[in-house]
Amino acid sequence: MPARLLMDFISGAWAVMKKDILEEYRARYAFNTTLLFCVTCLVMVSYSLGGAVTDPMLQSAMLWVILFFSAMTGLSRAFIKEEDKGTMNTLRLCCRADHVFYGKTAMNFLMMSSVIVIVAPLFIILLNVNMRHVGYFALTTALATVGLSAVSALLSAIVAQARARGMLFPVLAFPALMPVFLTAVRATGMSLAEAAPWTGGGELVFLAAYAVAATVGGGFLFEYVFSEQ
Amino acid sequence: MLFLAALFGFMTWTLYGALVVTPPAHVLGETARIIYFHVPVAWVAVLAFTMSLWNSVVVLRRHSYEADMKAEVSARMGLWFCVLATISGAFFAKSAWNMYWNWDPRQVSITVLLLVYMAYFGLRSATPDFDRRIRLAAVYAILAFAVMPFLVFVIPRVYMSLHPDTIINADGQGKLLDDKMRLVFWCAAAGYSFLYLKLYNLSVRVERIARRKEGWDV
Repeated sequence: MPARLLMDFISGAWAVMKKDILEEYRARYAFNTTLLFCVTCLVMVSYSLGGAVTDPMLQSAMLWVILFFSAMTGLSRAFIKEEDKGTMNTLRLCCRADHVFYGKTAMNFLMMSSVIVIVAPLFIILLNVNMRHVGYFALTTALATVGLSAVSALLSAIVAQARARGMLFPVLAFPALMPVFLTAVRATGMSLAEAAPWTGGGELVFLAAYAVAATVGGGFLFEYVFSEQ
Repeated sequence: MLFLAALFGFMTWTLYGALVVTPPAHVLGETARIIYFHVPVAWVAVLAFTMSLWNSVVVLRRHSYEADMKAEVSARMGLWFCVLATISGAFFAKSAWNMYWNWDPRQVSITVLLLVYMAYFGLRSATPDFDRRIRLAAVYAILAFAVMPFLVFVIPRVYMSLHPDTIINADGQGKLLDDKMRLVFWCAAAGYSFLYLKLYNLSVRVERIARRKEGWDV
């Protein structure tokens, strides 16, 4: 019985995610916007620095500022586009709230991960970064992206029902994502530094805890945002 | 009226105790007298945010306008007490570290906490529909409160901080304060908590009248 429930859950969330992947494949709106924003910012930062040697912590901070603001432009669309196209009520009729939330979170994760896969090598080349601990960096970005995706999905659903959506999303998201942002900056800085980052491990534990809290808590809260009663 | 008079007397006595009766603190000297104001005010902010959380949970369970009103009033008061804690902390920073603001992890945390609750009010004003507003605001208040432990307890301990908590409260139980200091400190904490309760009751009554005028069923 639990296996069947799990399969139901996975197939429901996958249906929502598949719809979004198809939609994104046809229009490539959110992915292109997010990627272009990221690349433009990276080029501007690199050009402004003019090849100056920068501290690993500063490089890490620049990377995360760029990723954070690109996430603000791309991930906010998850539910706003449904409200704009008038398909939100169809989703309410056809899908369970948890399927929608986890489908959208997975889609956000897929989109941000794809952007990071392209942007990270560019970051290394353009800012002349010496990436010393690739595994630590990959784990940091993966865990931070899970937290970012879940919180963004929840906030996008909130903002989609309010006015001044474009401005409201970063206002709501910035303080809620600040803990994950600060920790990701610190952990990424450690992955660029000479010393082995694995010894402490507090940052990764923190990011994992935030990711779990955001994913599970977001799933509970989303039901109240999604329902119209 | 009697309660107000008693509270006034109690707060006056606490102020006298904080400024005259208690000795200077271990290491920090006279500047540490701010703990009789700054810490209770920060504590009341947390108390107010907890009340806001509780009422937000009630909103989601019962869709209650009354609980939404209490959640909003509590969040507003929490925000004001948080502003007072930030300002008093900045004065301490000026005297102890020679600058009002140096992005110490505690200052980062409290700034983000202020932004969280400002965003809460931004969300409320951006949602004109009553029913949507109370539902969305309740969800955001719960999310905001879930972030608070990370900001208040985790970040200041992960990052190196100059906050004197590590000097005055090194053992986690305030044993480095002497008996008089501890007595005045706990009295100040109790006094500010009662002050908050009084202000909360008054604010709820004022808000109820304002909402009834706007057509809310509270």
